[in-house]
This record gives sequence, C-alpha cells and structure tokens, in this order.
Amino acid sequence: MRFQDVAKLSTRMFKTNPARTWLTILGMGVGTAAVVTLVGLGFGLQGILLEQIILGDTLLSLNVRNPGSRVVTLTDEQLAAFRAIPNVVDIAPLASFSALITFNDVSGNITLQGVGPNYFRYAGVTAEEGDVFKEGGESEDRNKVIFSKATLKLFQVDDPKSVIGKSVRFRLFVKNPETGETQEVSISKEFIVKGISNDAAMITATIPLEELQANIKVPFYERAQVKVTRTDDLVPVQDEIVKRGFVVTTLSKTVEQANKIFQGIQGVLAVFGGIALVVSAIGMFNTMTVTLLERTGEIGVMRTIGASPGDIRTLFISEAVVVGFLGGLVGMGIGVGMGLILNLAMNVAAASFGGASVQLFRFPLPFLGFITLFSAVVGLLTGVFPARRAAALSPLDAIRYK
Amino acid sequence: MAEPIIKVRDLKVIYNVGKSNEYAALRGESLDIFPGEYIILFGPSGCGKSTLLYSILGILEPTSGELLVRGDNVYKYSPQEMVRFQQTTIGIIYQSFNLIASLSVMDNVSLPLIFAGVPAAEREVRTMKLLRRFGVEAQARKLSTNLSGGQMQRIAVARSLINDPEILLADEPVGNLDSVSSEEVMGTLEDVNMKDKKTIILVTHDAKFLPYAHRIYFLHDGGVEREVINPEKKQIKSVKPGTTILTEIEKLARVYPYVTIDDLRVKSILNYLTQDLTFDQLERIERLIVDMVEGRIEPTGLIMMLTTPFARGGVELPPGRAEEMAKKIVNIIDQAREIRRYRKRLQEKFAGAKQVDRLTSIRQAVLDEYPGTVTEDQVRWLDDHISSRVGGFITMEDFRDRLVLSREHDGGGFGTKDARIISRYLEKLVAQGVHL
Repeated sequence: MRFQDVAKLSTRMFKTNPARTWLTILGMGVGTAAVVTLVGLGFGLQGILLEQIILGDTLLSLNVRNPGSRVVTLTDEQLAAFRAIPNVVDIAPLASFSALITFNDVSGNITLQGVGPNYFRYAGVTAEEGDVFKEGGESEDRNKVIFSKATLKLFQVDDPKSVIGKSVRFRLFVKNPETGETQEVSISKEFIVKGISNDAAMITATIPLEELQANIKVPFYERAQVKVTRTDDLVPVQDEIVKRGFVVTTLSKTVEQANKIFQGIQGVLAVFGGIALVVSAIGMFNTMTVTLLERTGEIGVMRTIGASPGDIRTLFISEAVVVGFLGGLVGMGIGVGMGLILNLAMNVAAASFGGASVQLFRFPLPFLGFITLFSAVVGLLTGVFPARRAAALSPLDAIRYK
Repeated sequence: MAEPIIKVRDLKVIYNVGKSNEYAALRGESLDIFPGEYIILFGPSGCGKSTLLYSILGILEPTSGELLVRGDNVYKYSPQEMVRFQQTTIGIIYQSFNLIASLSVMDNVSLPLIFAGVPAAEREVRTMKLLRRFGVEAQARKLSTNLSGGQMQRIAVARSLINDPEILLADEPVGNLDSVSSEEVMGTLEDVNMKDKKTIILVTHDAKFLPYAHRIYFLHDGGVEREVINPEKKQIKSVKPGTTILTEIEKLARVYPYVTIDDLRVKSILNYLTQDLTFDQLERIERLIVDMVEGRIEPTGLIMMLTTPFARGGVELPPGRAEEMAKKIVNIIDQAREIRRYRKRLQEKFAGAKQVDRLTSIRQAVLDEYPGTVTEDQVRWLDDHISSRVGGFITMEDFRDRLVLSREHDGGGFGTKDARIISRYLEKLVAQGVHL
C-alpha cells in the first residue's frame, strides 16, 4: 500500500465516528497535558534556582582558595603559574582584609575586598542596585565601593537606593604574618558607593584591587576565580590546581548536583502525570478494541478482496499513531495553556502582595517535541495489540461476524 | 478438451472437528468447472453451497479431499501467494454487497488496487471505466451508502472485476434485491461471463435464475445431488455423446427445484399415467393460460394457438379439444370473477337480487360439470352450502363430507363420486376467485 492511501484509509474515523475519535484524542490529550504541566513545573523550579547562580562565565570558573594549613598561598607567583596551565583563560583574584567602615558617622566591622572588574563575572556576583565594576571603567571606578546586601543590614538601611552616591571611609586591620601583630592602616581616601551586590550572606565592601594594593601590600589573596576555555577543561584544570595544594570548588558541580536533584523532581512529577497518561492510554486501547469489533466485517471483506494481514495491521497501527500524535498535540496545547494560566494567576497574586514575579512553568521546545513523539509512541503501543488481532482474524469468521 | 479451472474431488468440510457440535457442511463433493463457464450452485440453505464457494475463495480450508484452482492447491500457498491469488485470480461479490460505508464508490471499487499499491491516477482510469460500463459512473464521488441495492451490487461487481480476475464468485448476489434490480445485476453478470469470458460461480436458492448458467450443480445435504446441463446454452464443457444425456428429469427439475431425483422420476411416471400431454405442451399451455388470465389474448386467439402445429410455437391439439379447453378456461375465469364479486358484497353486508343471481350462476356452473340430475330440494341445499363455502364459513372438507350425507341428516344426498366432481370444480373456482 502507498503512504497516501494508508493516510487516507487510517483517517476515515474522523468522518465515520468524529465524536468518538475526538473524545479519544481529548482523553490522550488530558493525559499528556498532565505530564506536560507537571514536568513544566519541574523545569520552572529548576530554572528559578539556576537563574540565581548561573551567569555566563560563572559556570566556566573554578573557585580556588588557600588550604586551611596555609602550606601554599595564592600569591602573584602562584597565580602566574596557574596562568601557564593549559586552557586557563583568565584569573580574577580577591584580596580581603578586616576593616572598620565609617558611614553616616557610624562605624562598624566589615570585610574589605579588593577585586578586579572581571571578578564579578567569574564569581557570578551581580548588582541589585546601582552597578558593579565594569571592565574598561577602571579609572572611573577608582574611588567607588560596592556594598553587599548584608552590609546594608549592618547600617540598618531599608532603601538600597538611598545609599548610592554616599561616601564612606575605611581603616584596615592588617596582621603581620611574621610578628602576628595586627596593625591598623587608615585609608585616606573617601569612597563613593556605586552599587549593592546580591550577596546577602557576608558583610563586605568591595573596592578595586589596585586601590587596595596602593594602600597596603597584599601578601596573598583570599581566593581566585580561574576561568577556563570550555566546560570540559574544568576537571583537568581543577585536578592540576588541587595537585598544587589548593582547595577548588566549581559552581558547575553545584549546578550539576542541582540539576540532578531537579531531574529527580521532574521524574517524580512525570510519574504522577504518567499515571494520568496510562489511564488515557487504557481508554484509547479500549476504543481501539471496540473499533476492531466494529470493523470485523469490514476486515473480512478487505481480506477477501486482496488485503494482506500486513495491510490490515498497518491500517490499525497508523490509525492509533494518528490518534496518539494528535492527542500529544492537543495535550501540549492544554498543558502549556494551563501552565501559563497558573503562572499568570500566581504572578498577579504575587504582585498584589508585593512579591517578585517568577516563571514557575517552563516548557523547553525539545521537551515539547519529545512529548509529542512520546504520545505518538503510546498511541502506537495501544494499537499494536488490536492490530495484531485484526491481522490474525480468519477472513471467513470476520465476514460472518455480525 | 481444456483442463478444468477448478477441480474438486471428494471435498469434505467439517466444522468444529472433534467437538460436540461437529458438523459436516460438505460430505465428499466432486465437480469440475471449466474456464469461461457460468456455473450455478443451487440448493436450499444449509446444503453447503456457500461453504464450497468460500473453500474456492481460499478462506475455508477443506478438512479432506482435493481442491485445485488452475491446478494449484491454494491452501499450500504462502501468505503472499494467497494474497496474490485473491488479488488477481479470484473476485467475490456478496449478498449484502459488503461495500465499505466510509469510502466513496470510487475508493470502494479501487480498494483491491489500493492494496496492490497501484498509483492513484491509474486506479482512477480503471475504476471509471468499470463504473461507466455498469452505468454507475454518476455515483463515483458519492459515499457508498444511500444508493439503491442494484447500484450497490453493480459497484460490488465492478470491485470484484477491477483486478481482472479469471474467476468471479457470487454468493447469493441478488438475494437482497427487488426483482428489477435482480434482473439488472444478473444481466451484468451474464455480460461479464459472455463478453469478458470470466468463469462465474454463483450460489443461489432461487430457481428462477437457473437459465443463466451453463451448468447447474444441485446440492443437497453437503453433496452434489445431480449436475444439470442447460440445453439453451452452448456448452463449454465438452459432453461426450453417451456419457451425459438430457432427460425429462432436467425439465422437471426446473419445475420442482427442491425435489430429489427419485421423486422426479416418480413425477415423470405419474405425468404419463394421468396426462396425455407432454411437458413441452404443458409448458406452452401454461404460458397461454397466463396470457388469458392477464387478458393479453382473446379466447379465439387461445384456440388458434392451441391448434397451431408445435413446430410453429403452438400446442398442436385437435380443434375440438382446443375449443373445449378454451371454453373451460373462459368459464373458470368468468365464474372466478363472480365469486370475487360475491365475496366482496358479502363483506360489505350487501344482500340483494344481484347476490342471488351471482350465487345461481356459480351453482349453475358447478352443476354443468355434474352429469346427473338434481331435485329442487338439492338445488336449495346447494345454494345454501355453496354460499357458506364461498363466504368461507365452512371448509373444503366440510363441504365435501356434507354433500354425501343423506337429506335426513341435512346433507346433500349425492353419491361419493358425484360429490367429488362437484366439490373439485367448486374448489377450482374458489381458488381462482379468492386468490386472483
């Protein structure tokens, strides 16, 4: 049989039995929609979390810290050696000192950090208000400082905007590594607050590394972000640095783990949706079986006028695939529609309570493509058994069947 | 002599072998069918004629015996060969047409080609050609429902021929059709047999279609009871002189299709004893009576036909006999009309001088057949009882029994022989008058 004839013969049910056919498709659609909505929720949750940590180069960076024993430390020489490791693109060190900050005539203890502008990209630090240091803006950022969100709490500032443009002063406490004494160094300069970073955990103020180095000799860095060329380079470079005695963590590992957890969550959600899909599939199987009984006479006639058992099987299976595939499309429509409506409702509610709007449901295209194919396959599976029975019918019994 | 296209030897088909409901549909049948023949398998329901047809179609494997189509045992075919066989060698039409309701007429007819993978353009050409030939091309784009039975069956014939098979099987093809459509479809099949030289095997239980066939196999209880050659058709199967002779039995078989061959022989003897006319003469007289009853010929015309020599299409009776016969027929038809009117008025509760006249006329006609004389008392008795019989108040047997009872017992007081003559003639009239 030719493909177009198979297509023509296996879509007859839209003419002969439109109500039943569309209800079967709707049944499959609802089952598929359950899967789509639930898995979409999983994707949404994953997206919300990862959005917070993944930023461009962050995933390609290794976070290198000094070992607790300080056997080796992140000195300029070490960093230069890191640079020689193949596939290392860039290194952004961070120096940090305890400091006394004076702001609005109030003083407090904070950690003063010195970083290059590239550090923000590699570490995934972004500005909640104002801006962070930008590459190319070094000269203009010379007397700027970036607060962390936690720092605002220290000064009991509620409105981050009010801080921008204010000036602060610092006094550093530097521990002499040889004598162990702590020495107080005052920085003569005033710094102007440029932005508030998204770090809510540590009370820090960040100034350009050059400014820090101008006031004090930095014996070693607190940590360094080492950027590699590709994701595949993360492990070899990490191994190399670990071999040299440093502690290395990568965000990509964390992301990987988070992804794994979310895959698990999606799996669980898919199972719940899958139960609905199984119910629909059983319904569709039932319909196909009824169709088989209804068509028995017709099958007998076809067999006696030259249809092979294979032709009969092909017709049944393609009909099931058509119903399954359309069920998938309908289910995709319903599922995505439902997700978007729920999302909208939630965001409207969130907005009225002052929360931020989030994208709770996400439907990646490959997933939608997969689910459509998957429903076609489910359709195929429900058609296989009736098709085999139809093909195996004795033509004589089929003709005589009433 | 050509080889038979279908050869059946000792074919047995037993359903449910070994079970309590085991049933032998065919009990050792043998027959030969030659290419281009029109064969009718004739018999009452349950005689195994459809079973034989489905065995030839390749969907009912015989329990034992030999069944060869074109020299092949089709049940030895591989599944692919079987599909090819059903696609190209054999076609079938069913009593219930078995068109596929969800497809257009065009698609129904081209369905065998669709399964054979023929391209759409070629299919359409071949399909339209057949639809045109059978006069249903106007229906090509319609759905196959909502057509007349005759149209549907002609479409089914077109479907069975689309692959140009050598053999066409027809399972009671006109069983569901009215007489006009039946004639149409039977004509179509005859055309297919004569022009396309297709071998046709038709199953029917209706004797009126037997003249279409070259040969008829009479089936009874799962076996061939007799094979009858249709003398009106030029035979394809060569009949060697001396092996098969046509006898009167074949003619009788058409009159009494369901009667066994032994009973037909008995009927043949009975005919000789009771009638001096041959079956050929009887057949012609029968046709003339039909013409008379339906008013197509006048009594003079009837007498002329009855006396015309046999070779010129007449019955060749002596003139005196012919006149007597014509008179009797005219009388019966006239009196039957009287009886019909009498019954009609009676049902309308109408009584009057006319009714009395009619009754008198009927009684007179009956008495004309009676050679003896009757008393006035008997005439009154007859009027009463003929009225009751014609009105349907007493049965045939009652009337006859009372004729012979004595007058004291309120009978007619006739002799048994006279009673039989009177009652027989009255019953002829009643039969004509009531059922006309």
